[in-house]
Amino acid sequence: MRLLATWMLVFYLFCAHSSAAQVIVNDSAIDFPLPAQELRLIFSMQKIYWPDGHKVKVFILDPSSDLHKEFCFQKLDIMPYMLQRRWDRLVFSGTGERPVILKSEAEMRELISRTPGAIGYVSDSVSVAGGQYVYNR
Amino acid sequence: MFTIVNRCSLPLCSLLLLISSAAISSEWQLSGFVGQGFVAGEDTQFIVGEDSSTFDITEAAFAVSWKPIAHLRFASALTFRQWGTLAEPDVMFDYLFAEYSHQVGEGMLGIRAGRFKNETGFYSSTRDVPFTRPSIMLPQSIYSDYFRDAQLHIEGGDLFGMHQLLDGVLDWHLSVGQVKVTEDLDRNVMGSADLGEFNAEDYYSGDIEFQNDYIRLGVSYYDAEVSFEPSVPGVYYPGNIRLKNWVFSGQLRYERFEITAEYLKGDRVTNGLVAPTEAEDLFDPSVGYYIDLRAYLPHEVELFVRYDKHIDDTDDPDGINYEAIYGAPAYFGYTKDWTFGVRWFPSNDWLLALEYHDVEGASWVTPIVTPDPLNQAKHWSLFALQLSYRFQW
Repeated sequence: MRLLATWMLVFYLFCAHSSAAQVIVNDSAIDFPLPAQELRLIFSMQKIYWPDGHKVKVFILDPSSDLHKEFCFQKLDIMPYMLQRRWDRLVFSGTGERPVILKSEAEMRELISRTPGAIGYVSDSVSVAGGQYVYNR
Repeated sequence: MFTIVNRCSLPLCSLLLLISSAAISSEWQLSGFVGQGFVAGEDTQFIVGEDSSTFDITEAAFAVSWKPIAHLRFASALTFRQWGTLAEPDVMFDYLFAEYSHQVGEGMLGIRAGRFKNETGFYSSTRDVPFTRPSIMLPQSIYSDYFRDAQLHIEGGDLFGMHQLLDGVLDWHLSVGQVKVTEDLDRNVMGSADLGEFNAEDYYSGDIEFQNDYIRLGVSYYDAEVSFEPSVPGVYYPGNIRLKNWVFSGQLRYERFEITAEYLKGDRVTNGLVAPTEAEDLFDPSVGYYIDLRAYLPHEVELFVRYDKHIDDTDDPDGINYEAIYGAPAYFGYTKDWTFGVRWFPSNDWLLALEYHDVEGASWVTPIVTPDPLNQAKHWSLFALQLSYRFQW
C-alpha cells in the first residue's frame, strides 16, 4: 500500500512537472542563461537590463491564470501574490512598471519572437516558433 | 541549455501581432484600485469622530505610466481619499513627474522632476494602497497619520539609482523639494483649520534599501519643515515645525514566515506656535518602533501580530513631565499598540483585510496640540475592515 502511494506520488510529480510552464526568451538574449534567482529579479521588474544593454521586456499572462500561477511556483519558487506585491509597490509609488499582461500564449509567442530583450513563458505542451528560445534551467 | 524549435507561421498570429504591437509600441500602462473600509472605535474619537464608527474610509487611484521614447517616462496617479476625521474627501495627484533614466552596468541611474512620493521606510511611498501596505492602519510610530501630510508628497527633484548587488538589488534616492500640504494637516495638528494654516517649507531626504529573496534592509533620513501662519490673533503664534527623522528598517523571510521591524529616531523642533518666535526652539526627541510577525498561509491568507510603540519625548517616556507642564494626562505622551490582523486574497484582484488594535496611550491621536481626555481614554481600541479591488491594463 505504501509502495503504491509512493509510486502515485512520483507519477503525480512527474505529471505536474510535465505540464509546467517553460520560460522563453527572444533570440537576442540567448547568451545569458539565468539561475532562478535572476529570473525572480527579472519577473519582479528589479533587473531591467540584459548584460548587453538591451532593456528586459517582461511579458506575462493574466496573473489569475493557472499557467501564471504554475510558472510562479515552479520556475520562480515564489507565491504569485508576493510577486504581484513587488510590482504594485513600483506601480503605485510611480517608480516603475509591472510586466506587460498578454491575453494568450499565441500572443506571447509572437511578441517574444519580435521584441528584442523579451522574456516570458508558455506551457510545456506548446511548441515554440522561431526567433525565440526555450530556456531550460 | 537552449533548444530551437521550428517556426510556425499562421495568418492568425500576424493579425494578433499587429494588434499587440500597436499596444506595446505606445508603451502605456494603466493600473488602479478601489478600497472601501469601515472603522469602529471604543473610548476614542480617532478616525471615527463622535459616532464611534465610520464608513468614510475610501481610497481609489488611477495610475498611468507612459514611455514615449527610450530613457524617458512620465508617470502620474490621480487619487481619491477620505479617511474618517483624518482626511476630508479629496481628489489630487498622488504623483506627477517626468523621469529620465540610463543604464549603468546592469542597473540604472535616473532623475525625476515633479511631484513624487516620500520613500521613507518600507511603506511610505505606497502607504495609501491596500495591496502594498501590511495593514489598514500602519504602525503609527513610524507612519503617523496626523503628520502624513507634512511628509508624503514632495514637489522637487529626485536622483535615484537601482543596482544589482550580490544576490539582490540595491536602490537609493536623494530628494530635494517642498512637501505638498493640505488642510487636513491644520485640523490634525491644531484641531481646526480656522486657527491658521500650515505651509510647505524645505524638504530633504535620502533613502537606501537592499532586497533579496530573504532579506530587506533599509535606512532613510528626512528633514521636513512646515511653517504655521495663524489666522486668529492671540491663540497661536506664527512659527514652524521641523522634523528630522532617521528610520532603520529590516525584514527577514523564512519559508512562510516573515518578521519586520522598523525603528525611528528623530527630533521635532518647534519654533513659535505655542510661544512667541523669540522664545527658544522646543526640541522633542522622539522614538518609535514596531515588530511585526506574519505568516503566509495557503489559500492566500495572511495572519499577523504586531507591537508598535511610540514615545513622544524620550526624556519623558511615561509622559509625567508632559502632564506637569501641559495639564493633559500623562498617557498623551506615549502609545503602545498591539495589532492582530488577517488579510485574504479571495482572487488575484480582491483583498479583504480585517484587524483589531488594542491600544494604551494616545501620543499620536489627533488633534495633537489640543488633547481631549474626555473623549480619549488611556486604554482604547479600534476595529477596521476593508475590501479592495485592483485592476491592471
